[in-house]
Amino acid sequence: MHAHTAPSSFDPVDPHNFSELGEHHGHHITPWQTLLGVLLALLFFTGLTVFTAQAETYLISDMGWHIPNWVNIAIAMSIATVKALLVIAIFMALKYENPLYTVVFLFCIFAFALFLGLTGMDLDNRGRVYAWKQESINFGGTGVNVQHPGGTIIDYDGKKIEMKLGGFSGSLAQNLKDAYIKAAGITEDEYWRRWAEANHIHEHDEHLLSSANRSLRRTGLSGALDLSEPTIEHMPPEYAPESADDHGGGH
Amino acid sequence: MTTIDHRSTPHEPAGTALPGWKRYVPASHFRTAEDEFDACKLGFWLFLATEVLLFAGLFCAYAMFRMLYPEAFAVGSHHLDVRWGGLNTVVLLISSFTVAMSIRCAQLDNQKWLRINLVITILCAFAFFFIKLAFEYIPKWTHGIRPGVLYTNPFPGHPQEPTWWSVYYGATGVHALHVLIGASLLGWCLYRSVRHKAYGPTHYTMLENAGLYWHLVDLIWIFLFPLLYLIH
Repeated sequence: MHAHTAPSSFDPVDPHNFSELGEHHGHHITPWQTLLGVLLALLFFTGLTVFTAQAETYLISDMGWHIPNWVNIAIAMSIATVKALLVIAIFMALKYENPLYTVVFLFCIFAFALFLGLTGMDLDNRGRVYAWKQESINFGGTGVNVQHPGGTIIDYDGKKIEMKLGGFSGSLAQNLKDAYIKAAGITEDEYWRRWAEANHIHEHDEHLLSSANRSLRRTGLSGALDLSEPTIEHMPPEYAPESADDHGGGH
Repeated sequence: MTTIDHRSTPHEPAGTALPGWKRYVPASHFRTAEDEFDACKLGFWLFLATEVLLFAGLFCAYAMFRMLYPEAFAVGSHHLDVRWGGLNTVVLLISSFTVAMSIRCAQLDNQKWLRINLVITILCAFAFFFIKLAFEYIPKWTHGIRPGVLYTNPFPGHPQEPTWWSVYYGATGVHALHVLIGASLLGWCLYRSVRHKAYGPTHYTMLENAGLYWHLVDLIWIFLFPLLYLIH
């Protein structure tokens, strides 16, 4: 209503008379019923996501269903996204706020997509580059001269065991296995028995191991990413991950 | 001398009973308190954007290492107890609700429930941290389940399991640090509220921003929980 009245005097704090452009619409006060409703919805979705994950594990391990891995990821991430939108829109009140904040937030999502997309493209296509200039690559990741700090751990029978590797080369897992056998003074068979126990491997848990063949064999990763096959030497066949060839390998 | 006292007008007689939020005067380069609130809030949203990008780096590391070693991630995730993760999710969700309620109470000048809600939020923050430390970090650490080259557990389920634990400790560790920082900010708000009645209908900028920070902490956990505990 003041829009057309001439300013009576020049205001140095507000030289463009923005104060006459419109009223502030005041802060939005969210009703407590809305806030409580959102909390209940969030709790419900938390229960739902746990339930679907457990149901899926049950169907795979006890019913022998074959559910592709992406289903698990898609369901969990969709529910998480719904929960996140509820928190952002109502709890953080983005729904009622200046849209500028929404733009700031959308920028984050965009930047995150860039991070993921570009890094993923890089990792996924290195094989091609390295195949092309195969001869000039110096493969790293051997662990040569890595210093392991060592430390005391509590063994599964409650005894303290001093694990000391010092400088080592080769796979960390392999070195830890050797060091443990030495420190505990046990046989290899006993090691694998304890290994299965520590990893909760029981007869009905085979699906956990058979999932191992989902791993792609990739070539030409940088030295920090270990190139060696994911096996521990002398792993008994019943624990060893299935060979990739069984599932149409050829990667 | 706190900020409230510092900003109180010199015309106010000493010992006045006016609560802090009524005595608050915005910085002189702002036209109104409203403008100051908007500027502070935009600045805080920009800061939240940088926080999201910080965690984006960690999520990116998760996604890439998962792509490379899916079975190591499946084996590692199997070591986590979904009940502790789920309980912590519930704790954080409740605290997000109470902090939103405390801001509502500030807007309505309900000083008593503003403080009660803040106290519940801070208790939830400590409950989260305690559960994380006592039932997850410490038992794992004593069994040698540690990140990266610190990994000393003689029974890795997969040769790349230390990589999974690096991602796990990295992501949850940075998140737990944010829980502590958020609890400190809210504790500071509580102190100012008790001491000065600092927040009310016309001034609650700091409480609003601390609340936004706390919601972000909740938001990050909403994604970390399924990624770490549920996806096999």
